[in-house]
Amino acid sequence: MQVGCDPKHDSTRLLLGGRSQTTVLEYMDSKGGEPGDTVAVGKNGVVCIEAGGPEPGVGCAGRGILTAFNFIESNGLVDADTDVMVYDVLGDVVCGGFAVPLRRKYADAVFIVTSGEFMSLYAANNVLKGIRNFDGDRCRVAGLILNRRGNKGEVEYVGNFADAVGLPIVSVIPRSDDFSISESEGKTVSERFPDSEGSAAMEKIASVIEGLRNGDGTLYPADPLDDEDLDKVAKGIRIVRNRRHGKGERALAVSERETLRSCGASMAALCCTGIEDADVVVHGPLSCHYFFSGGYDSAMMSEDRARRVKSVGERMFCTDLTDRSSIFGGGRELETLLRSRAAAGSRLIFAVTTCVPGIIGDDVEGICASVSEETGARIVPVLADGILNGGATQGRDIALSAITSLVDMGVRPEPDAVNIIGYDCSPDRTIMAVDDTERLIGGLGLRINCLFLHENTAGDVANLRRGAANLMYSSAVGNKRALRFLEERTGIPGYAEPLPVGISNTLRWMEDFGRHMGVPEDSRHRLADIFAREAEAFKGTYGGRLEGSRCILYFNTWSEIDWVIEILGILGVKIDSVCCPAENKWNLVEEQMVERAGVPVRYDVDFDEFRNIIGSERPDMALGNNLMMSQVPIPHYSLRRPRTGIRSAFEYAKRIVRMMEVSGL
Amino acid sequence: MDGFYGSMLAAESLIDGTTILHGPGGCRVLASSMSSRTVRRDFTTVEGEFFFHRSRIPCTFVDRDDYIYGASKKVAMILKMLGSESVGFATVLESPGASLIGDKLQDEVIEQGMSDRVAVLGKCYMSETFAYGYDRTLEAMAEKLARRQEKRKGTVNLVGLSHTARGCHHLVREMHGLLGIMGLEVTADIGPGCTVEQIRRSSSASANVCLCPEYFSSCGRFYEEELGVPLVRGPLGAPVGYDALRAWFGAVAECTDTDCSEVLEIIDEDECDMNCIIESSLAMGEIMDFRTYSILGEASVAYPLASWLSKKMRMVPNAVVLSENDGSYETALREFLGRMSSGEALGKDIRDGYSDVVFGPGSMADMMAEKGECRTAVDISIPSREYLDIMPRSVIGLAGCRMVADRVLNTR
Repeated sequence: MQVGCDPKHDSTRLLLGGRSQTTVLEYMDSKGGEPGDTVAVGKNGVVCIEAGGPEPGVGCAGRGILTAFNFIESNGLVDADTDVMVYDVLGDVVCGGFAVPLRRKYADAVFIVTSGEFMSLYAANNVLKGIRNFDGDRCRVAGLILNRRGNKGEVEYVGNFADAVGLPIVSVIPRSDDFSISESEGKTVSERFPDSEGSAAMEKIASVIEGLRNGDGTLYPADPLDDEDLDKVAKGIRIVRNRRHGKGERALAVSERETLRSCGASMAALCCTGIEDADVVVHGPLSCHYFFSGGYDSAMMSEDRARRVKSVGERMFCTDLTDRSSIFGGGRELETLLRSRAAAGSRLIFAVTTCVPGIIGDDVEGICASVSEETGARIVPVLADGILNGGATQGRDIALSAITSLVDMGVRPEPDAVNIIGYDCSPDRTIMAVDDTERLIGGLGLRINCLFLHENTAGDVANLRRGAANLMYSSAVGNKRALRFLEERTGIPGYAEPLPVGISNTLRWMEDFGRHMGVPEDSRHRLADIFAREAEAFKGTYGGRLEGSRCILYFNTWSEIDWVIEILGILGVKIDSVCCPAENKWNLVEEQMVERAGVPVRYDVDFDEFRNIIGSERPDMALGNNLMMSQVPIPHYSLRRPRTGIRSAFEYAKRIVRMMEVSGL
Repeated sequence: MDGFYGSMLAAESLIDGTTILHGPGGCRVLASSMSSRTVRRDFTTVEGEFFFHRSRIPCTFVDRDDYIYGASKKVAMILKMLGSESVGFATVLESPGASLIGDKLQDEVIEQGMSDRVAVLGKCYMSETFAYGYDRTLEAMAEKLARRQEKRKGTVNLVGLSHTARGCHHLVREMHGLLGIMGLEVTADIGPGCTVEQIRRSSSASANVCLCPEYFSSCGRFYEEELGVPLVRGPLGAPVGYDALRAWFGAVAECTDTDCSEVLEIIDEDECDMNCIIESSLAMGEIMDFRTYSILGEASVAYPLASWLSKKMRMVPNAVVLSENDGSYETALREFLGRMSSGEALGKDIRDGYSDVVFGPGSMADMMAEKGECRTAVDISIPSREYLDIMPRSVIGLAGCRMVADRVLNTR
């Protein structure tokens, strides 16, 4: 059997009298006929299969080869009594897909066909690299086949390469018109010119294969040259090698710091769903759509501030890429979905790309532009490409860049208006009820123009520049980056201090920010008095309630924990230390916020180690913002950052008191 | 959810098995959480490489460089690590993106000398249905673990259910109890969750009793053809509603040569008790007559559920959408709907028109209720709003009959 593994599908043509056959990928694309249609019997009973490939320039031909091999296997296209399988493989082993036929599972021996030109030897050397990756020192290379081009010194040139890589030249195929004549008549040279030199060269190859089948042949390890030695060979310099050449092992990212653990496309899609009158098209498989749009517990189906139910699933659509799309390209699916959303009345669509289109190289920008022009809908590509451009932080940056293309730069700022970046809703209704954000902003005589990417319309984003300042809801890395980005892109000045949490932060912030915005002194003081009175009332009721208790904290390095220190201080709790898990380089954390808290900090503490510390130091309670807190064996509570102001921090303080009360039962 | 999730979660149904994902970290997040919550095993925390604070689904955390240069060595590193910790069985899966790399994962398994206890799926079922991926992955695991052996009379495997199904664990317990009354012992719960050893023993069972065949179709054929274990399907679909429940146990009894009369008595009594409640409520018991329902679910569930709602509760379908297909139940459903002149309900957009009761994924059904598109939302599958299954929640089984009737008849 001969299997052609080149998308050009010209391997078996002459065995079939010059006609081409249905390739495996043509069959899979058409979904018609029978799997057996891909098999043809040629001269001398040679069974022929061609893998085929996608249209040039689209999809992933390597993936096509991989899929074709799975197809051949799963449909039992290879008869058990097949004598010899010949895989005719593209010489440019450019990816894992093209290298599939070289796998030990398929090939017992590998012949490398080369001619006496540098690029051909370069490709032959690449094949050796591919085999070496599979086999290491094991012997599976039968030798080189020199397919002569007729240039001067060719035999010596290839001979020099063969010596350098330690392989024999098993056969030399002459440069001869016999081949072109045979080809023009749709015949193999062995059939058309059985007594020719060319035919003899083929027979020599056949005899080597026969020898290997009988156990008489010799196989060699793949020992490719490095670029320097290959260059010497190209210059006709003989090289002597006494060691294996090749690149060292690539360092794989496996550590806590290096590993990319979040999905850029997921965050990009999440940001885009903040524009509630826009559709989000996920260009990828359904699994990505499921992850982005809701998932197991429907985190993204929640209630908005007006207690309306929101479902992202209603506005997020998926191109539903399949294995087929990864071979033939997913452009058609994207175009179809974008058209259908535009026809359904969507005027703004974000097209977020996942890993698959990123790898196969779909022209997403081009498709978005053409559908947009045709339908009049505004279609914004968000080229996150899954994780290809990074994790959540990078995905957010990409989304921001896409979304801010909607901002109307002609809008003028209004002095009493501010925007808030990074606002979100808490599922804890008690905590939501004591959010002081509007009390704080309104108390200073200001108003909120836009909670950026929270329950926005495209119009809200267009009018973003009405805000005279951008405020961060918290000091999260994403908010800081967004603040800087918006300042650069839209010219809206960002205020560096996030909305405050806790008593002293809130009092200080309202004074500083009020002054920054030109709020009259008496307004600032009036508001400060209200907050200060509430704080005194809280202290009167809860001050010293947990006197003598010791606590250990477990927070990420970037967490704002001043408020925790403050409320624990009011309750009379002593803090032993704050432990922090290792930070990941993809998160781009710039500042170790925990160090501002004035308590001892221990870095790079994983959860097992945290539990060991608890076991040895025996604090009375543990507080943190880690999901794993539920597995702590002492009284514990998982704290999210409170809402702006003082009241939600007080609510958490009350819960800590209750925790200690019930833990004694 | 699609077949890729189906694969990951099927592999996770092995209580003492390990699922290794070759792919980006984001791809494992949901499946890892779901597994921790829905498969009954001791909770452990696993720190460090490939786990990073999640106890389930160690992952190669593929990045851009890995997509370009390949990263099968990471799989080898995980295998080595697991090998040293004596993991009994592992399934290696590839994410949609990683499946394009062409990494030679099987070679890595051979290299580690673990091919006897590691299954490499070798295919990513992206955008196939959830059940399709679930079914094919169970089959791959069974091919590796189960060998033909002598059958033990009076034993069955409970199959055709995912551990992520609403109320799975309570339902499994109930089915074990009812099968026990018939003298049948369950060897393995293949799909809902079992151990490696139970899968090995599963080929000794006299039958695979199947709740929803969509989750055990290809694997069921493998058991029948290669291991000699026949598959029992409910004649009226999954055991949803009293009639289908009786038919299901009847089919099990016939195949296993056991007596189901005692179980049928229990079912009859339960139905009779429920009917008494309804009849004594006079007009209130008939409040749902001629009102409408919609279903989004598996064909094996939709068919008996629609039959029950229409025949016994005298409701009419607005829309019936199949999330998973099974040819024979779909045909039966089509025929049934046609007989009541509601053929157009099949495949109609579930949100097209008002329904008094909607059965479907919790988040979708709840949203419809909140938006006034239905009155009662019955959560029969994921994704759901955050909810802990404390009460029996499955639509299947005897408790399922009560759950459905309670929700439907209390619609106001």
